[in-house]
Amino acid sequence: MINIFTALYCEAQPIIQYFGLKRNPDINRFHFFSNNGVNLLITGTGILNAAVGVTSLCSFRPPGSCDILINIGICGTENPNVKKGTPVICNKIVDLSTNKTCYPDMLFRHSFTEGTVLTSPVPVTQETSKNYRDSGIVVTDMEAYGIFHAGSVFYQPHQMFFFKIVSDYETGERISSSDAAALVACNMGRIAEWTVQVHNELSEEQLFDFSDEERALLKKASDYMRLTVSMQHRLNQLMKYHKIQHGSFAGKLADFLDEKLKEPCRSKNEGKKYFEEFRKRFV
Amino acid sequence: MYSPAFSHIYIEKGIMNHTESLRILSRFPRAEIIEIDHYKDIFSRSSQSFVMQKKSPSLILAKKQDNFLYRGAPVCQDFGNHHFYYATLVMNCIYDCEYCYLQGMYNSANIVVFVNLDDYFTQVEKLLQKHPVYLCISYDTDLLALEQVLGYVRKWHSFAENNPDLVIEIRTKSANFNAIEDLKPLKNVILAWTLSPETVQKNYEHGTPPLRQRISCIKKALDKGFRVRICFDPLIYSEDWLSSFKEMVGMTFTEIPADRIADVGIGVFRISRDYLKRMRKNRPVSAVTQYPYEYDNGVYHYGRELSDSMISSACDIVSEYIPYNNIYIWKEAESESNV
Repeated sequence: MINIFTALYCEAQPIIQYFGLKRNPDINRFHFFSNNGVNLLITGTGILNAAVGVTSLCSFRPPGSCDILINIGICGTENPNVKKGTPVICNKIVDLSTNKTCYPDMLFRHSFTEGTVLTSPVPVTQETSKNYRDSGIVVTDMEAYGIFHAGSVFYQPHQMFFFKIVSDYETGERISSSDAAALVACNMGRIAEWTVQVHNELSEEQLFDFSDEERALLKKASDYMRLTVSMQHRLNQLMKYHKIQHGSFAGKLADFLDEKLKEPCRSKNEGKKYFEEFRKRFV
Repeated sequence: MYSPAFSHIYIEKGIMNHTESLRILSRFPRAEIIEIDHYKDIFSRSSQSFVMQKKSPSLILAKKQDNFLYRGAPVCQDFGNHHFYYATLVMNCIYDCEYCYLQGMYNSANIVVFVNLDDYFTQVEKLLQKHPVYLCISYDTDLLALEQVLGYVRKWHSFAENNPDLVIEIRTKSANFNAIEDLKPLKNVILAWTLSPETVQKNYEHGTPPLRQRISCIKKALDKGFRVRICFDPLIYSEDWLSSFKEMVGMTFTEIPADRIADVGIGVFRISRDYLKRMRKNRPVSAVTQYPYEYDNGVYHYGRELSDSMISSACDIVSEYIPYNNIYIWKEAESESNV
C-alpha cells in the first residue's frame, strides 16, 4: 500500500487524478481518497493536523513492512538557485518550534534534489526568524515534521519519503490553488514512477510463515505431546528451521504423528521423551 | 534500485573541519553530506531496519567522547593474554554476515567512524604506563576492509611500532592486504584472518571475499614476514559442516606453511539472548538465525553435546597441521582455554 499525505486539496488533486483515486467516506473529519493500492489523505495545514491525519489513516489501515508513506506538498526556499517547481526529497526534517530533528533513511537511488526541510508553525516569510544554518539546500513547509513524527509510530525510517516542491522564495507572495496544483501536477509522473518502483522493491521482502496445514499439524503435535508453552515455542522454532532448510514439512510431520503418536501422551514426562525424539528427527 | 554504499555521509557539526573528516570526505566527492549534532541522532533512532540499511549503508563521522577502551568480553578469545582490551574505532562492518552479532548489538547498519584517533592513542599510552596491553582494534568492524577509505590500520601500525609493550590484533575477512603490504612487519602487530568453509562464505557471509582470496592474502602477508593468526570462529553447524571444514583446513594448509602461523583460534557460534532475538526478527528466513539453539546463562548455543563434538572434531583436524599449544579454543560456559 502507498499512503500519501498532502496538506491541501489543491496539492492532492493532481495525485487523485494520476492514480484515479475515489472519495472514500471511511475516515471521518478528513478528505480520504483511495483505490486498490493507493490511499491519499488530506491532513490540513500545520504539524498537529498532519500528525492527526497520519494517525487516523494508519490506525484505520495499519501499514505493513512493505508499505510506504509519501508526503507531497509545496514549500518555500530562500535559495534563489533552486528553481520554482523543483521537487526536493528531504533527508533531514527540522521542527523550527522545538529545534528537534529527524532523518528519513535515504536508501533508494533517485534523481531528485536532496535537501533539508524546516517545518514551521507559521508560513515562513522574510520576517520570520528561522535561526537555522545549513550548507545544503533548505526548504520550508508546515507539516513534514508532524508527518514523520506520527509516521514513525507505524513505519520504519526507510519507508517514509518527503517530496517538497518549491513554490516561492519566502517573500510573502500568495500562491493560488491552481498554481499549487500545477506545480504538483508537473512533477507527478516522476514522483509516482519512482514511488511505485520503491514500493515494488519493498514488496519483494521475504517473510516467513507456516501454512494452515503445517500450523494445524504443529498444534496436534503439541497437544499430543502435552507441551508446555515454552516447549511449544521450541517446537515452532525447530520446525521453522526445518522449513527454511528443507521446505514444507507437513508430510514428514504427519508421518511422525502416524508412526509415533497415534494417541495423546498420558503424562508430560512421556511427552518430553517424544519431544526429544522429535527434535533428533527434525534437526 | 539501492544507492551505493556511503552515498550519504552524516557528520557531526563539531568535526566538520577535523583533518580526518576532511580526508575521508575527499574520498566521496559525490556523496550527500548531512550535518548532525550527534552520531546517535541518526545511529540510535528507534525501529530502523538493519537488513534494509545493509543494502545501502551510510557513513557517519563522529567524535568518540569517552570509553575509548573496553575490557575483553568473556565470549571473546584472549589468546592467553592477561591484559586484554578492545577498542571500537568503527561501529559496524561493510560485510553482511548473517550470523554477525553486530546486527543484534546495534539498531542501525550504518557505519560510524570515530575520527579522533589521537584520543585513543592517549588512552592506550596511559594504560601502557601500568602494564603491557593486548588490544583488538577490529572487533566491531573490519578495519582492513575499510583501509582504502580510512587508513586506520596504517596509523595503528605506526603507533604500535613506537610502543613495543602494545600488541594489536587486526581481525579481518577481507582480501585487502595490498593496502598495507608496504608496511614493515612488526612482532606486536597480528593480522588475524577469519576463515570459513566455502559453503558458509557463499550462503551466509554476503559481500565477503571467497576463501581462496583470503588464503592468498595470508600467504602474501606471511611472505612479507607478518605475524598471522587464523580464526576458525564461528563454526556454523550444518549437516555437512565437518566435511566442509575438513576441506577448508586442507585447502588452507596446502597453500600456507602451517609452521609460520602464529596461532589458531577455534570457536563455535554462540550469541547472547537479546542479540539473537533481534537477529531472528531481522532475518526471518535465515538458517543461522533460526536454528533452534539451546539457552543457558544468557547465551544461546548449539548445546553442550553438539558444541563439544564440533570443537573436538575441528581441533583434531587443525592439529594435523598446527601444534596443540598453538590452538586456542572457546568453549561454552567457560572462558577460552589452551588445548
